[in-house]
Amino acid sequence: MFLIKIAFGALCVYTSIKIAKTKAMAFKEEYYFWESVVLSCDVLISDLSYKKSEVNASLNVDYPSESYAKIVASFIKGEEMLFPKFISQDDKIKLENFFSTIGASNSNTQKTAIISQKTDFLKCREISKNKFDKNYSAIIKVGFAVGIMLLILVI
Amino acid sequence: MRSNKRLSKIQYSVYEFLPEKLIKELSALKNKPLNEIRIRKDCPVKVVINGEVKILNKISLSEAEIERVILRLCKNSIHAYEEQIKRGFITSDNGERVGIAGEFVKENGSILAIKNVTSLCVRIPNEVNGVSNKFYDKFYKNTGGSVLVLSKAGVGKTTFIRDLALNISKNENKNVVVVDERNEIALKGVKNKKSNHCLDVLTYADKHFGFTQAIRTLNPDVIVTDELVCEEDAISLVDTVYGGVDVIATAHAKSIEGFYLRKRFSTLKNSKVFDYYVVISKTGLERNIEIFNSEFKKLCF
Repeated sequence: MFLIKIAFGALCVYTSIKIAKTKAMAFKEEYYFWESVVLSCDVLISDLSYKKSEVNASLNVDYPSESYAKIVASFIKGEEMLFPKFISQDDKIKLENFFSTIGASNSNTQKTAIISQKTDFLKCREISKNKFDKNYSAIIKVGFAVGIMLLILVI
Repeated sequence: MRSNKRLSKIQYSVYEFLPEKLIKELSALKNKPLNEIRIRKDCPVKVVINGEVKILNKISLSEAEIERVILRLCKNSIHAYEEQIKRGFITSDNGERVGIAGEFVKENGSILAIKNVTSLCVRIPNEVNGVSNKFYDKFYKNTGGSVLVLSKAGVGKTTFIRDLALNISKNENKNVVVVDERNEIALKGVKNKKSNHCLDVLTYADKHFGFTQAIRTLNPDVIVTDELVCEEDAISLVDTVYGGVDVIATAHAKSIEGFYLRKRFSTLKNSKVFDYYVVISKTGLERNIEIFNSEFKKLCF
């Protein structure tokens, strides 16, 4: 009976940590998202200065964020871009403006616009990084603490 | 997403950038050879089918629709086609040359961009195999040399030199460099053919740069290039031939006499660099080819 309680308690700790990790990963995903946006700016700036490839070729990069990769794929196909929930309305407008710039004019005009937009995206990345650093470990610790409390209650 | 189900296989490449309403009308042509499509803002679209002009009275494009055609032609990457647009044309992957008419924006004397596009002229290349075979077998195979192909616009000069380049590449062990200033000569299908093991293509390189680059780095036996339009082209060509490389080129002239009288070709005439002049003319749907030697004497063909 005691062993069953220990096993159940351990399961509670594991589940609690797992839930906490899932919650914390949202901050990581947000950071990866902005990291991917900045990466695509760098790729475009470089390409516009040198090879001037077509958009589908220059944006064909391995992005850290899966949700951003899906947005890029939609953009290339001309489909509606679906932004994740953590993107605010203001940030959504910035991203839509960014994508409307790509491929729409000559290389110098695009480069100037993208360099300017990149400074905004760097700020967003910085904010998301701070949020991630601040909250990730705290949430994991809270999850662990809740798990231990449940273990104690069970035992 | 555009539906591709009803697209004709033969003309599919043109349909990639044309609007749906025009595609529907062209599909009704049922695989007749399409030579040219002329689109003018708010005017009925004109098509040339098998040499005959047909006006599509029900179809016209607005300025916004014409801009969308250009965006699709550039695969939503205007910057990738910037240099071409400045020169007033865009060439698709499959060799369709789209001439653009509109307002040219200048800065410091150079063309920066085109805005308010009002006309497009889509020229569809027709790869006609064997059009140079008779000339190649009867004359060129035995002697080689430099060739100038003359005709009016749209009669088949580029088709002829494309076929001649392929003949040389296929049958002789000569290095053939194609200086393809507008990406019209070496079509995608031509570039990918296995028989092209002797063909090197410089796409979008102007003649002076192309000839110089070819001679310095590609060891050419023959250089094939399109339309000579100015004295600078002629000078580069003469230098190249005198440097020991045969050149095959084209020029606009309705006859050998027409070429002879054109002032811009005085350098070519006086330097006598060409071993053969090929004059192509059109009577109805029939094409006639006349061959002249370096002394402008007509050869039996």
